[in-house]
Amino acid sequence: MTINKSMNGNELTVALEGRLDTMTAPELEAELKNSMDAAQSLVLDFAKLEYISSAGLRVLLSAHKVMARKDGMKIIHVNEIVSEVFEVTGFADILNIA
Amino acid sequence: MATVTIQNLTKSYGDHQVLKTLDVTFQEGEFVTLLGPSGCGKTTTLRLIAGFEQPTSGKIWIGDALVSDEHTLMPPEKRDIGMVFQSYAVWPHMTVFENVAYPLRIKHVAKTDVAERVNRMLSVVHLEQYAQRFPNQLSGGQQQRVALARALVAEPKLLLLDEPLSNLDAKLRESMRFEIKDLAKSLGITVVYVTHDQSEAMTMSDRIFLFNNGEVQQCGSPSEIYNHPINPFVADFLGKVSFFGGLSENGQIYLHDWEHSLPDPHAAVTGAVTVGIRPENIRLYKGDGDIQGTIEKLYYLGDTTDFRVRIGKAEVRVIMDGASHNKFAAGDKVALEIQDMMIFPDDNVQEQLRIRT
Repeated sequence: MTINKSMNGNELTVALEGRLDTMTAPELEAELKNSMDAAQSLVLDFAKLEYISSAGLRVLLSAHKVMARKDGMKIIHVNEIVSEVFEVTGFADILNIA
Repeated sequence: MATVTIQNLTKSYGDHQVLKTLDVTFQEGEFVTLLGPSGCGKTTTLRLIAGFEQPTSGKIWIGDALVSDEHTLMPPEKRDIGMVFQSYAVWPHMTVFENVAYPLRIKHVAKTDVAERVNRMLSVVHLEQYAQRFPNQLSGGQQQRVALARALVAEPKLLLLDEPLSNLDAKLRESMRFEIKDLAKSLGITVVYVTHDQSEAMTMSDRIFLFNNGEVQQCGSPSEIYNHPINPFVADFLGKVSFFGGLSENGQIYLHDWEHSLPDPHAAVTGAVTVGIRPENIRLYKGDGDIQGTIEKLYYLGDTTDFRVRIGKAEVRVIMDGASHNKFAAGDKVALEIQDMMIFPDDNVQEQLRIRT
């Protein structure tokens, strides 16, 4: 999985490419841990994300909890497969999916 | 159910080879445990079977499907496997029912079938009355059963478990071992179970694969490995054992520290040897015998008594039943009967045991 980060003022944008699963979730977790302190809001761009597993969902939930204490987190450009996972797991009700 | 066939499998990270040429087949319906100390290669093997890692070389088949080689990696979600991790990780915001239903909903199983299969699985894991509870309303053991039900509800060909009981207290670990084993047997599912806990491996497994330094040291049934370990590492990892250096010739083994010889009718190994004796394979008696010693210490553990007996320069550990505590005292002169022993060629025993110290 490739992770591309950019800061626009206080907004951190993290674009993922590939699969977010048991193998790659720790990498995203580490990157977010390093970067979220400096950000007031977080945007996760899933335009090139092919697949998300439970391990990936857990990382999103942790990030959501951290950013909820600031200006929040949103997820953009979610494909059909990932969208279905969010629906079935109830994450669609928890996360801000644009 | 499925077989798992692993052929010439290796895994390296850069120059560090963590798995060295694994060639094994797990049979349909078999409960196999990958056992060994931290860093031995057992979890790497499980992750390769699951598809979380790609082999450096070699091949893996699940049933007839080639799922992994150095060029091919079928994603985990397409391998028809169920997995349970140490963290069990059930969804806190979903009921028990919805947690278990999740794999079926992702596969677009019809709603009526979902309900039937989930309820059946909840009954199998004895959680039917907890279907509408949330995970934070459950005990650790109950949450682990939710994770098991979720892993099994889609009727996978293969169940992979990575130290699923490590986060539970000792009593619960013990009862869950039997539950998992019974559940696997009743479903007839092929299971690959990773643990560092030899008690889990011994009670649950049809076969144990004992790993060290990226290699399988020995595989076999629990009794085969326990009673006929192939080397001192295996003898030491499974159960308790004391090692003594000796010299084998003419059907006798002279133990240097004991300053005494033991008969060796098989004489399979001659020259310098290491003798391993499990403490439960020595009996103590009052009075005279071929081998004499003095009890230096004894510890009462309820169901057993743990002795330290001085023989020559050696301190020999003996374990007998709890009642023995009343029959012997420190300072008693005793006769020893050796009921069984293991004899290894004396090459690099300390090196083999080093990983354990």
